[in-house]
Amino acid sequence: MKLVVSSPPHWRVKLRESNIHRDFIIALLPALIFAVYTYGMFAVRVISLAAAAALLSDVLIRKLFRKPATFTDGSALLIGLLFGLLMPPGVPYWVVIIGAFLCIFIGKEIFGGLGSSPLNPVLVGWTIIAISWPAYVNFSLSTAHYNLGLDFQYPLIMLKNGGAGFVSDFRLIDLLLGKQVGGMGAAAVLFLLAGGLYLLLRRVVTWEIPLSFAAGVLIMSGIFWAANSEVYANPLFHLLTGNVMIGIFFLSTDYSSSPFNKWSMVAFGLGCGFLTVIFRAWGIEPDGVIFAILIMNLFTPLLDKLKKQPRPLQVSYMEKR
Amino acid sequence: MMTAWRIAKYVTKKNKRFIWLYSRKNLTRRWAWTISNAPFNTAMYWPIGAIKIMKGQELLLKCETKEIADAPQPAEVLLPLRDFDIKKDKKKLKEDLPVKTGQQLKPGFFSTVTGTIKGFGPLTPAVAEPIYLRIAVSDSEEIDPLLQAEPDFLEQEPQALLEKLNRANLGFCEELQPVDTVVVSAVDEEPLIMVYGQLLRENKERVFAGLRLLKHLTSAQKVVLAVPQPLYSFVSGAAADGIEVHSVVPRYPNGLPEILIRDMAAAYNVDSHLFLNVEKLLAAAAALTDGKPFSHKVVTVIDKQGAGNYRVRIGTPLAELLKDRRIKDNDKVIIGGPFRGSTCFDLSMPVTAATDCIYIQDENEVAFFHNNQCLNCGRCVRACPVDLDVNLLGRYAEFAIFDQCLEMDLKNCIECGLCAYVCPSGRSLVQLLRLAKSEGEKLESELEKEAVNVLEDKQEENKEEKDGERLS
Repeated sequence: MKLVVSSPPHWRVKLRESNIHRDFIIALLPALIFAVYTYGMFAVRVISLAAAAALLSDVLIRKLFRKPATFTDGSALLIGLLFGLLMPPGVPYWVVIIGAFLCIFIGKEIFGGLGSSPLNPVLVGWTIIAISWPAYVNFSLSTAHYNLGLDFQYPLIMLKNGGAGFVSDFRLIDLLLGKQVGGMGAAAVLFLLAGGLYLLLRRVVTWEIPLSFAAGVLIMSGIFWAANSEVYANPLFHLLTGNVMIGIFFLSTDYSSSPFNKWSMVAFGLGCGFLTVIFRAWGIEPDGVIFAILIMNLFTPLLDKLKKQPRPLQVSYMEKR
Repeated sequence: MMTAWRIAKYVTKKNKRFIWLYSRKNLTRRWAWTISNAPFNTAMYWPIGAIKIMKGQELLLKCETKEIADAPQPAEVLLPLRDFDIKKDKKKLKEDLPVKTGQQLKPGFFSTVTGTIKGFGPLTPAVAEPIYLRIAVSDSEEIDPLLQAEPDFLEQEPQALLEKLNRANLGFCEELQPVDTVVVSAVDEEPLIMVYGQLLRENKERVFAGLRLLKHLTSAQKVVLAVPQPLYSFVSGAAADGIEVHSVVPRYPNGLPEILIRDMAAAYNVDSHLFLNVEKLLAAAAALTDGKPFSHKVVTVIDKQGAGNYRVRIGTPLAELLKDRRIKDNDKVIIGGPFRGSTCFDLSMPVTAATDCIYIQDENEVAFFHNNQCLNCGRCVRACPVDLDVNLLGRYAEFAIFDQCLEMDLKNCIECGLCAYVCPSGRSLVQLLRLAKSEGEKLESELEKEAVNVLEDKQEENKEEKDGERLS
């Protein structure tokens, strides 16, 4: 009789890595639908182009590197979708294609593929695009051609230029419902929140990073606001604008670039929150979320040392094994 | 710990909606979840409810009652030889030599049956060395006359008692060392196993007699009996002076001896300890009160049809024990539980004194592990009961950086298997860690040799220098 032989354990949970990426994509769906609802075919064009470019470059690069194809696990699709949702609707097609390719190539594959990238791949691609062609990623300009029934100014630019008095017109409920100019999916705060809760419930993402990120933003902007409420906006405004909500649930929680120990995750989230508000208050760019996450990504190996040391185990001596 | 639970079916009874969830195809682990007068679509809720329910249901230790049946007498037993020496042993253990139950055949090696020696045997052609002694079993049973009943054992000297216990195939040390705590575990080590809890249920009085024996034997200040939570009320009343009962949450890693002692160390001020399980304790009590050697082991046998507890003679080949069970090609026969058990490659392997469970896994239930890339999701780190950075250790082992593994407390790993169990990539982490352990040991011994060499060289240099100084 031929019996199967293996090393232990002999059970395995039914969770697979492709299920994790599938859950992330499901959690993005509300924001995707919102983007398509608001921007119509422009959103469809950018997002599908980004997703297709990411998938295709994943396939091509894996082939070039002579590695087994991994596009079926959904990670490339997730990167493409996230990249598309960070873009404004009017961005030219070649910017999207180059960006998605850079996400996959420089962000992910150069470091050894899934799980090995020290920086969040989406943010790497976005940063290169934003620094190389800043005009195309400018939210206020790129939406100027469309009549969306919105205020055409990116709230954070107004905050940067004119202080808190300029943004007092924005109602928080409008910001929450996504009636603001911004990245196509990043502006859909409520829908991202729903997706994020789904991720938390499915335990794809643990509570530490999202909660501490939000707390970090609120605490730091609270300090600024308390110091000078005429120049600095109130904490909830900071929480509901820009890329904060997509950063909290989808960008900062990327497995490979964030810490894995409990308290290191809390420190990571707090750091992201603090840096976001500091960049918004004193930086050149209007929104600091992406740079904050990128910088905290670099601290990940250091933060992972924040853990309790393994306790030595006692050895029983009397019984022979 | 996320298992994919699916809704199997909805049942409505008395305005309550039951949802049956299943996690694995054929193992009977279904959980009902009720919502009274649920006004909404219940499917809306299901992730929340499912998470509450599934929070590691698979890891729960079974505390069910399962009566122990006697397994039939085998025709032949196989006893694993320790420290085999072909010249000496072949002289001593000749063929057709009659042996009695409990007879000492060589130091630390006892017969568990009455019968005649049939010679040494390799198990299969795959294993070249003779590692088993074959004994043909005769019908009548005779117990070795050296073993005598000592009903009033509490009045005897501990050292004399220890010798008697060692004569009964219990394998204690030869000399007593002082300990402050004796820990006796009635918590089954792994899920699916139902041995220790059942033994405690059936032999409560005897267990406490054994605890008094241990207290006398080791002159320890405390004797602690660890029981799973459902059994706590059953035994807590019998706790007397110096004998305490400790309740353990019946979840998987809590029953492992290392974890059990670590968790108790703080609560009971354990400094040095002796660890025993209930079965060994009962065997020790039986050896003194009845004069019986440790010759039978209680084994849980589990397959698709169900579970059963059997009292099996040590050395019985698995083929005889599993006669009634249907085992096909490509099935997995696991000796031990689903997390730490080793797989059996040939059914003529015997039941040993350490076999708690035999788990027959059907072909389509076999879990597959791959050499996939690590996602760095950290589930293994959160699952690890001894707080190791398993994701890093796994990768260091994968790329043969074993010195780093040693620096990261790899030696603390107890191979509980939870890391590989939760891994969504299906990395065979236990295998990697085992590789790192064995390679790390080699590395350490090499380093030690090098260090000794360097030390000797230095000493020689110093001598030469001193000689030179003297000469000048």
